[in-house]
Amino acid sequence: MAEPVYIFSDGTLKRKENTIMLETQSGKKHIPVENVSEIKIFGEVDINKRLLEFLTQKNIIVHFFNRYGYYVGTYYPREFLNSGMIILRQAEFYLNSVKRLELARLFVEGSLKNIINTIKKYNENGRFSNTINAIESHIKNLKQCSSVEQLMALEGNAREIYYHCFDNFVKSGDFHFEDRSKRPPQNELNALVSFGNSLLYTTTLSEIYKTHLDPRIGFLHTTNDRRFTLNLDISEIFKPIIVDRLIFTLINRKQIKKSDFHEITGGISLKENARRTFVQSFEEKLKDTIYHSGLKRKVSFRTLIRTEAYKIEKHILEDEPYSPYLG
Amino acid sequence: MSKMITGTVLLSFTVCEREAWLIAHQIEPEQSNPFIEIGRLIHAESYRKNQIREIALPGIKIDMIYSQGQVTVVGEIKKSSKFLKGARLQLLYYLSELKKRGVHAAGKIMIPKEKKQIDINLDDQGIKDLNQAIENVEKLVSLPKIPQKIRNAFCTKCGYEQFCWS
Ligand code: SF4
Repeated sequence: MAEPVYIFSDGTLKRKENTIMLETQSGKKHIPVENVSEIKIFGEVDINKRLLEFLTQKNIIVHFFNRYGYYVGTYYPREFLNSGMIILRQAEFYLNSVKRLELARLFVEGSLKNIINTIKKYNENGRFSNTINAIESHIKNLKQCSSVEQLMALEGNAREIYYHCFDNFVKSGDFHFEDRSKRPPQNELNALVSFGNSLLYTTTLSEIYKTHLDPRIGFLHTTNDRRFTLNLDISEIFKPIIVDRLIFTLINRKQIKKSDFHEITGGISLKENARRTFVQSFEEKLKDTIYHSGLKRKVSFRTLIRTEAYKIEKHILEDEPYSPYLG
Repeated sequence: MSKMITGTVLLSFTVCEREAWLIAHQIEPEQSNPFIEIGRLIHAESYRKNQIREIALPGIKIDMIYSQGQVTVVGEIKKSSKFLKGARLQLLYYLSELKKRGVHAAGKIMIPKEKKQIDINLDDQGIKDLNQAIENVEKLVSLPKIPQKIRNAFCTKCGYEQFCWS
């Protein structure tokens, strides 16, 4: 079984016959290429063209993060499942404002519904019923939005309401959400959300790579200011289910504590050990399985992310209308 | 976009119209499907000594071709005899394409797992069946929309399973 490989150490990554070799101060490590599904690099790692050619041949995608754990970019090997028809349809759905708005709305709707489902997990004695009602009324208003910008604004407002409950979901008094801050995050909870989201964005990008879709053409996230946007769209659906729940669990189980953070210029970042803990739990979460009624068997969350991409393919082929995964 | 009638499209047409449409529109199946892997392995490992070369022409990918006495034999390797009808059409198609290029050949379906070989000839019946199938496939492939999914026994082994049933 091929698995994602995470590299935290500094060193050199090379091709050595049919393996990938990581050379660090503590020695050499061979990773058979068949065991690698994607690579996420956090350390200071030197790579060369020969390695990139090898990874291209094996359709392995590489994501780079800087030393604070923030996403830098992706080496996206040339597509291996090209379908002219799907890319043209995808562009058509992007350019047609009605069709684009419909898909964008479905992403927001799925995201907000999954936010409600997440809140419900903590809604003992109906503590958060007002919050849930408020978000539900935002969902009702989605239909009235006549532009993607309006959708984004509505989602932003609903998310704000949701984030205000975060402090109540974590039992430790050490963590306070305050407001959402990015690049760099201003407090611990924000740092966790940023880190988790970028893990999810890159994972989703890797899953899209296995489909026929072009990740540069998103519908909710506008295509011109970022290279990859479709992965951001699909991730919206899974953020509350995967990333947010993972954060609450890690804090409540005291696997991540306040001492796991340090200050960086202008903000706060996770220390390397905590990053490893987070990544490990994240990967375990992606392996968790749930029953899929269409496929009539259990599938992992990672597979669910890919099937979300297939559902979008079917939507743009006008085979079946898209309906977001709700969990 | 060219919608290509190929040997593979003919083969899949006998199993699932949706699959044939998807293949003809070059929407390729998922590559990590274990059954596709097994298919590749069987191709790589079986009948090595017989194989002269693999031939790839537009729409044709012949597993092997060799001479048996005076006859050129085109072999098509299959995992099981489940899809004989499709495999026969696929071979008939190859034989007819070769004939157009001046090569007269005989066909053989080989099923290494079952130690079976079945002869296929481009005789009158063969030509008739092939033309009929091509006509049906062309009609199907020119439809603007994917044919609806219908669950069949092949789905769980099909490279489009996740696509169709997600
Ligand atoms: S999964 Fe089933 S319906 Fe879909 S293409 Fe394959 S055989 Fe046809």
